[in-house]
Amino acid sequence: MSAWKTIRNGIAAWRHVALPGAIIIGLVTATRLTGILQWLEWKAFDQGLRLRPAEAVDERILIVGINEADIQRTGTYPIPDGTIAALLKKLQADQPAVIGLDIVRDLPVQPGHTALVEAFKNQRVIAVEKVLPMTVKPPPMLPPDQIGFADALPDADGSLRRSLLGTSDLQDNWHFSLTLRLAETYLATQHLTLENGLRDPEAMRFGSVELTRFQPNFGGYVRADAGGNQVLLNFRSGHQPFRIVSLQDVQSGKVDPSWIRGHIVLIGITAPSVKDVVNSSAIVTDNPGQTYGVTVQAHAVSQIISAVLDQRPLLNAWAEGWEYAWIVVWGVLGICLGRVVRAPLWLMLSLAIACIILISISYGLLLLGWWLPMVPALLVLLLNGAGLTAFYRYDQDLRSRLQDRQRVIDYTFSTIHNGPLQTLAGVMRQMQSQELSSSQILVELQQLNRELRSVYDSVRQDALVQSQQFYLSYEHELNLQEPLHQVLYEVYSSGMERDLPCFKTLKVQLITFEPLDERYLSVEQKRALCRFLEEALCNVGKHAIDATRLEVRCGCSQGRNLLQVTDNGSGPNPALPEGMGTQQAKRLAQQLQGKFVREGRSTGGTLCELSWMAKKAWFWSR
Amino acid sequence: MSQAVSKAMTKFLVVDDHESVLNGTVEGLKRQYPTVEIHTAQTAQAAHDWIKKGQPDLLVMDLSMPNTPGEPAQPEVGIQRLKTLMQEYPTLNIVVQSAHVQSLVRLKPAISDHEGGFTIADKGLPILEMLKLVDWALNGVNYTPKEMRTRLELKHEWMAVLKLAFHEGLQDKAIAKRIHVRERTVRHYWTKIQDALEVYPEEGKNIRIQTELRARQLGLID
Amino acid sequence: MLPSILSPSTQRRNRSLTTHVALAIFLFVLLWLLASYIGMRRSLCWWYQRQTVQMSSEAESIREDLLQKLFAMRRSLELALMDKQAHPKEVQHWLTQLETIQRSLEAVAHRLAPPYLDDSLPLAVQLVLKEWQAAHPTLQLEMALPTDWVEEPLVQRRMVLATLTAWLQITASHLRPDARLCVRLSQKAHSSEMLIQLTTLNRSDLPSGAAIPKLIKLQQAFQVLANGSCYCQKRGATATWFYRWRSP
Repeated sequence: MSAWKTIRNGIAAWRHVALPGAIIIGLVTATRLTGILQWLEWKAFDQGLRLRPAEAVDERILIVGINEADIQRTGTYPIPDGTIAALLKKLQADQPAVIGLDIVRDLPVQPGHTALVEAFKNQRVIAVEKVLPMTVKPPPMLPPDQIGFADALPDADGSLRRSLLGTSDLQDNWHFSLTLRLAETYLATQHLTLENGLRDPEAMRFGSVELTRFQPNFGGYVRADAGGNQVLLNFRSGHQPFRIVSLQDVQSGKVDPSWIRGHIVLIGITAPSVKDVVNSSAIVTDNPGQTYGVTVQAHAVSQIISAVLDQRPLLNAWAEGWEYAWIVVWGVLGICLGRVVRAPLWLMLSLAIACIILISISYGLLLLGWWLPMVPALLVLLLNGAGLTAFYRYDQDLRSRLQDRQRVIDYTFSTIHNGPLQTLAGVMRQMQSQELSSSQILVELQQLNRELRSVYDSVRQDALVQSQQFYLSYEHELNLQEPLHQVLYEVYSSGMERDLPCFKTLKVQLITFEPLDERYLSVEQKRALCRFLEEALCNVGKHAIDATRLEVRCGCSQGRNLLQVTDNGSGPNPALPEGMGTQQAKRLAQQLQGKFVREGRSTGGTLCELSWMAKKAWFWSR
Repeated sequence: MSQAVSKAMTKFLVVDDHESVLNGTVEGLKRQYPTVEIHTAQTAQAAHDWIKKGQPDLLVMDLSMPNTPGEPAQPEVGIQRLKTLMQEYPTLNIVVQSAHVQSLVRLKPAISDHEGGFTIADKGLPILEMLKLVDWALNGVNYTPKEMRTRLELKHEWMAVLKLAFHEGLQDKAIAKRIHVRERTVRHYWTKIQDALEVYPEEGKNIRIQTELRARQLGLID
Repeated sequence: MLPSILSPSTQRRNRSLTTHVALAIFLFVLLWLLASYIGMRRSLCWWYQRQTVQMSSEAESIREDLLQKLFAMRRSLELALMDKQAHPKEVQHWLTQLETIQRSLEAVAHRLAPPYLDDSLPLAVQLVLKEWQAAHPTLQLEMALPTDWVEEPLVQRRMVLATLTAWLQITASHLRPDARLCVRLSQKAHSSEMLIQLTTLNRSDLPSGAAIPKLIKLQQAFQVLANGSCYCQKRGATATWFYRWRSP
């Protein structure tokens, strides 16, 4: 029973901080569900992929890129069928596993069309089409088995992150992509065939490796179009993940046959003028954000092959429930940190550490192929940790002060009951029974007086102390109508009341507060003078070790105003770098067109002095 | 009574807003000074007006009182009035009898400049103590309770007086000439110094010698 | 497995609308949280200041009233001692003086810690109302206080009583002599309620002006410190304040 009660008490105590924290978590979750955070999560995801250590070159793929120079040499664009046919013949001579032609050839481009038809008769060539609007027909002479579509599915921010492996077109016919055809053909040479998945019957499987299908809410995606069979593109990291040769290299025979034999060859355009590019910030390229279409095809094919043959991880994400659980955990951690760690510096430190841990875990798991919701988790962690606690710390302070006040009230009440009221009752009783003589009554009354005084003092002390915490400083109460030297005296006396370490050894204070010539001083300058005096006294209190004598002079002689604080302690070397107080003093001296001096005295101790002539400022000096 | 005798008649003014307190104080004073004229006032304004007319030799005043009848009693009123009175009548002997002595800290500079006697009597003191303080004030002595002072605080002029008196052995007249003030001012400085050093008139003791002993004890002169 | 045929531009438009709406809601909720927090903090500060002022006034009453009386007594005693006489009449006079001092001191103690609060909230409320009625004899007062009452924790009880006292103090200056006040305490399954109803002749006599923000701050302080809720209902020339809180 008591355990349940402690739990309930604990929950009630945490309710004030937990409830807004839960609201924040709910808000962030709702925001994520609307899809606003997608953009951020994509960016973080891309960044994570970019920062991965470089992988080795995938030697199983060779890209033949027709670059700008090749187009120039060919003389015309589009590249005529004849050139392509020659290229194909040359490549086929080295017996590649499969050739993918990532160039649109729905219409013949003379000269050389018949040569191309001839070249296409080789069963190891796959050509492209586009099945989604706008459709592009494949080369008509090829059987469906040798055609793959090259449709790309960019995300709302224009980057490509998904690889479409198979889809139905508008007439409900199923098509496979170029990527899949190439992978399938290559893996067939390794005796692995395409089958339906075991866990997910609609997914694709090669051997024991199942290509996890993309779902509408996969990872950071929210209600994405998951039509067809898509997988996330796990780009191969590194500056040069694939071998790229130009048309020229192949035609002149500079390409090493071993690069081609038994491998996949992709032919595509790598010329900037043709703009067969895809946006992706996950790949490290020379042109920020843009990659040639054929390179992306290579990435897509390489991902499947490496997954099947090298067990290279594919990109995966948790089920939605686990993702939101992850976010909630980090939000709760934020609440706990804010509640447990009190000091603001420690709080910042621990929040930073938590953020670093979160980012490291996310990055580490990304390396293993898992995409975690890092951005929402980071958001709730920071909002709960830093944002909320900053607010509710104040609330706690007020509450604890109210509790303290209540304690004082209770204490006062019991003191009154146990002290004066008892004494009074005793005296009255004894007076009535005439047991006391007048002098004894007097003694009792003295006692009563003392008790009442102490009650009064303690109540007033509490009221005063608390109200001082609401008045920011004496500056609000300073009656600047009074002569400045009197105000400075008040500053001095309240400054000396502070419990600073070096005041303890002080034995003598010599003071002179005489009227200053303050005709031309503005209110702000007067306040600054008060601050200067307070600062100087504070320095004495903090740094003048073993000081026994303190001298304060404030006066005006022969038109020169002087405010001086001297002590005979062995303080720190005045040549130390100046703090803010010194800078303010220098600025004030400048404003008043006077002089500020802080130096050690020959007899030991420090002299801190501000002197100025009382005269009108001729121009504004800031 | 001739004019000369009536001039010698000392007058006290006792100011407090509580009638019972006033009676108690007046009765006490009458026991010690049976021949003195004791007048009373219950508001700050009335007190000020009376002082202007009556020129008393001693003022016994509370701090918490109203300015005019009907207003609430506040220590602020008494403190302000006291400050004005000290400025207008620098030779007036004053006894402050209050339960509120901490607020007098604000008047410390004015008290240091005051030339008449100035003593502070807490209302909790027994009557004999209070009468002693009244006597001190009449004789020009300064007394501020220890709680009002955290550390030994002296003005530079007082330090100069101490040095001249005990290092060079000068008398008051010579000291006055050296530091360019009147001899009476030097005497006032002595009472302030004695209050700061907590040296007060005692039966059978020479107060100047006591001052010197205490100053040496505290290391002010060597 | 049909891919979506929706054209990209429509998708983008729909998405941006929901995005903007969601963002607006998000910001609105955040701002609302912030505003409510600041308001609550201000109310707590106000409550705290009120208590400070009350403590100060208690201290002043001790000084002004009690200590001065005591001083007068002591002086007369000392004088009597000096004269070496103690009339029985004087002793009687001192006794009556001491009695007054004792009564004042008890009043101070009562204000610091209201009696009956430790035992029964209805009794404490009754006492407060009776004292208030004694101070305002022209005002009609109706009390409906149950005899059996499940006691809530001391902190809550204190806050309820303090709220009632504060309410009376805030509206004190705004009450016309012909107003009628009704205070009712009631308790249901797990919730208790204090109802304060003020009926005046004219609608314009209801508390207004400076009293309204103070009452609102009082409500917020009550909500935070007593973990309760309250709202005010105005109908014609009657205003009712409902203060509710959970009881065990």
